[in-house]
Amino acid sequence: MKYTLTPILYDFKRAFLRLSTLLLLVLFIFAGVGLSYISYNYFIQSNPSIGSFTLIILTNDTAYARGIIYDLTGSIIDNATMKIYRIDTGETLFEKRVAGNFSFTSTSLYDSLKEIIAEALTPQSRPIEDMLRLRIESSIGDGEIPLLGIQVGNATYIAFGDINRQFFPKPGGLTGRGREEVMKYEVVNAGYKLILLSRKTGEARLIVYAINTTDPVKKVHGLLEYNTTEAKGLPGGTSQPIPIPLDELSFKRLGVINDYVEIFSLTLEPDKDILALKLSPGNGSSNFSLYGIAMYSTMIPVESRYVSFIAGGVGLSLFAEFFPIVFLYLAYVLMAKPRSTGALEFILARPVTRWDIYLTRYLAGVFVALISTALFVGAVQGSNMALIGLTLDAGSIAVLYLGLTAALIAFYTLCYMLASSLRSGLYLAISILLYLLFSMFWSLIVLLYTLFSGGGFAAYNENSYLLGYFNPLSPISYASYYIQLNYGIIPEMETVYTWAVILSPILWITIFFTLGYKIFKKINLTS
Amino acid sequence: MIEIRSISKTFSKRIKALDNVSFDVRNGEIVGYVGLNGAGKTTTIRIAVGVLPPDSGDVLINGYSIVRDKRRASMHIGWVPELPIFEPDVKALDYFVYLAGYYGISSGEARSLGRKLLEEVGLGGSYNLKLKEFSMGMKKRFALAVSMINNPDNFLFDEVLNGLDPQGIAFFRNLALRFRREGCAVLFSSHILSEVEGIADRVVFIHKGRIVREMSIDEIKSMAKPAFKIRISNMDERVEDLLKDYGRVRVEDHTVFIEEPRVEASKITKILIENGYEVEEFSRATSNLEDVFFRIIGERG
Ligand SMILES: Nc1ncnc2c1ncn2[C@@H]1O[C@H](COP(=O)(O)OP(=O)(O)OP(=O)(O)O)[C@@H](O)[C@H]1O
Ligand SMILES: [Mg+2]
Repeated sequence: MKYTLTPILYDFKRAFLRLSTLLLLVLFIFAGVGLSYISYNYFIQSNPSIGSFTLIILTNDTAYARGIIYDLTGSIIDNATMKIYRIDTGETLFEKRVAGNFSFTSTSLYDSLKEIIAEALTPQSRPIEDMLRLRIESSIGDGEIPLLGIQVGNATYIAFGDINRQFFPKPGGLTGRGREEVMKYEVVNAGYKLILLSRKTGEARLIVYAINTTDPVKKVHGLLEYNTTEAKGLPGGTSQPIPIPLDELSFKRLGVINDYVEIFSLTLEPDKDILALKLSPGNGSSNFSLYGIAMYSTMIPVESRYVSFIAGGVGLSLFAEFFPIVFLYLAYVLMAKPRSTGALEFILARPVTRWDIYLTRYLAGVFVALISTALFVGAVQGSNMALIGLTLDAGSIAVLYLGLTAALIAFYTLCYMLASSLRSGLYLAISILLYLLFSMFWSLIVLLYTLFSGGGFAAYNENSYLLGYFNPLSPISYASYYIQLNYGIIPEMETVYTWAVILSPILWITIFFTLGYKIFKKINLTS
Repeated sequence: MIEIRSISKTFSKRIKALDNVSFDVRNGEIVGYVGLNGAGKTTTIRIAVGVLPPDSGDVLINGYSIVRDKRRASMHIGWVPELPIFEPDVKALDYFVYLAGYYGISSGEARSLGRKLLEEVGLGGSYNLKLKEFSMGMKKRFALAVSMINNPDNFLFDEVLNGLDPQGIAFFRNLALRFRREGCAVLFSSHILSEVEGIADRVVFIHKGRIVREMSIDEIKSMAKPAFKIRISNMDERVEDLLKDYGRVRVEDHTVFIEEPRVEASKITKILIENGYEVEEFSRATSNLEDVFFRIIGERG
């Protein structure tokens, strides 16, 4: 039908497919990538992104090195450059490009390590821990790996690692048995690091190393078992041996140890608190087992740290502060400017009605919001996957997307209403003022409200969610709230009512859309 | 066919711009729309093309209501606004193609149509000029080209001659006559009656928002027939009686005026001389359409 839809679709197409909108879409993608990169940088500042366990055995005038390099989720990375350097002089003793899972021999490394060990043995020397360090440089970040252990003698080895826990003999056993038997335990130097990935699913990684201290060339063979238990009446968070009835626990097999270092994936029960580990010698003699425990219920999972950066940190607030401007501008070019110059009247003489023009140009803006936010969220997820190897779960992505689009559309509707009724100069003045009010000065308003309502600073957060219903941009904060709540990062807020969170943007949008049309329907387009 | 049906429009509470305006422009007819500045011509035309909603009344374009069925009605309208305003930063041909898109004309088709029409209105060399670089007359010509995009059969031209050079005026005249031949309804407004005279078949007079009169061009011409002005040295009262059969007679001192004379000048002189009057001077007062105009709208004369 030539009469009906063609002109409307055409107006929509021309409103949407303009250079400025297409540039905006590109901008959104860049912003998404940039934002992830910013978040990532913040993230790795407080969360070292690279870890390693590297064992170097010095024997027969050669250094034998064996190790792994992993990211903060405990996954082996592809490759990296390892550097062993002196902390005091900064001098690099050894440098080599290695795979994430490597072993090699080197005589030059042997020589430099022998030299520095000799120096460390002189009485004036500082402890060797303060002299040597391993540095890993990779495309996903760098890591400074401290000296984990050193043994000097006929079985000399140096271990670097960011592994903070040691297996220990059964506490009862330590006191009850004789010294010789204790010595038997000491032939194995073993430690572990627990990486909690997600609290909700209990996904975790366990990195375990074991060195035979009597003869490091010989690998330790053993069986690793585990179980989880509740922390009934236990002091929380301690790494000291605590009276857990290890004897009463039934252990489940986790895997076998055949190398100096192994990585295990495991699922921890979300409603328990403590992971108990049991490392038994390969001969099956459980009398000589070593134990380890880790309180995981108080650990902050990698995922939560990441999510709080993505959903609660700089990232979203940057989005909230800058992207509304884009929509303020869009309402200007689509409506305020052509209406104000009078050019819109000439277009209205085509086979379109005022309603058509009002609706199509509105929808063009909404369409930009939907697509650009999708691109933005996609870019954020994609680059996070590439940078950190983590993404939000599907529900959170949906909530994030809904929150961002709701905020942008609500703000756009407000601007569009102003654009349909004010001359362009006045439009810019008022919409920029509202933008400043809703994005920059809003926290000040919440603060003043909090002070005058006498709630004190404690009530600030609650009030900010309460007043948010009157801010078209607040769906971003609510999305952030629900995502962080979902990951257990923040507690539930009394002032967040789901019905109000949903109703508020709907009201913003319908009220201003209707009001805008009421004005636009009658307005004289040449003055 | 343009049927204007009782449209009224009030801008602010004080100004009643249009008060119950009704008239028709039939197919194959050129109608002049004449009134003083601020009479309401532009307002009428803007309402008729659907860019301004009337307070009440309606305009039917080929029977389609501009108020209720604007999309359909607009397909049959060509409009040249009094002060055409376009996107300033767009090139002429691009803007033409953009506007043509609203009529479902593909961009390739619109491009060749645009070249043809712009050429036709005398903008052949200005395809790639930005519209803000157009002069007033060029804008009018551009709007004229745009009004022909959809090949409509109803045209509304608002003060289209205003700002055109003599060549442009001649061009427009021919164009209007062509539209009439093709059976289109053409309405064009002006505040100068003589401008309309040469083109229109009929004139609608508007004054202060009301239609004061509709006249055929012949009626107007007859009203504007020349008056004789005769100066007689031996003037007396009998002159008025003597000449009253030959026109409307008015005497002032030694001068007698015969408005709308029914006989030739020679006949009058002959009668006067035969009756012993001494004719000192005989002149033909120049025909003044504007006097007629003012007489019609009742402002003066
Ligand atoms: N946008 C407007 N806002 C307020 N009043 C207006 C507006 N447009 C026109 N008017 C008023 O409406 C009346 C009719 O104006 P209109 O422009 O229709 O006159 P016109 O006959 O076209 O005059 P002109 O010969 O000067 O073009 C005038 O009194 C004018 O002041
Ligand atoms: Mg006018």
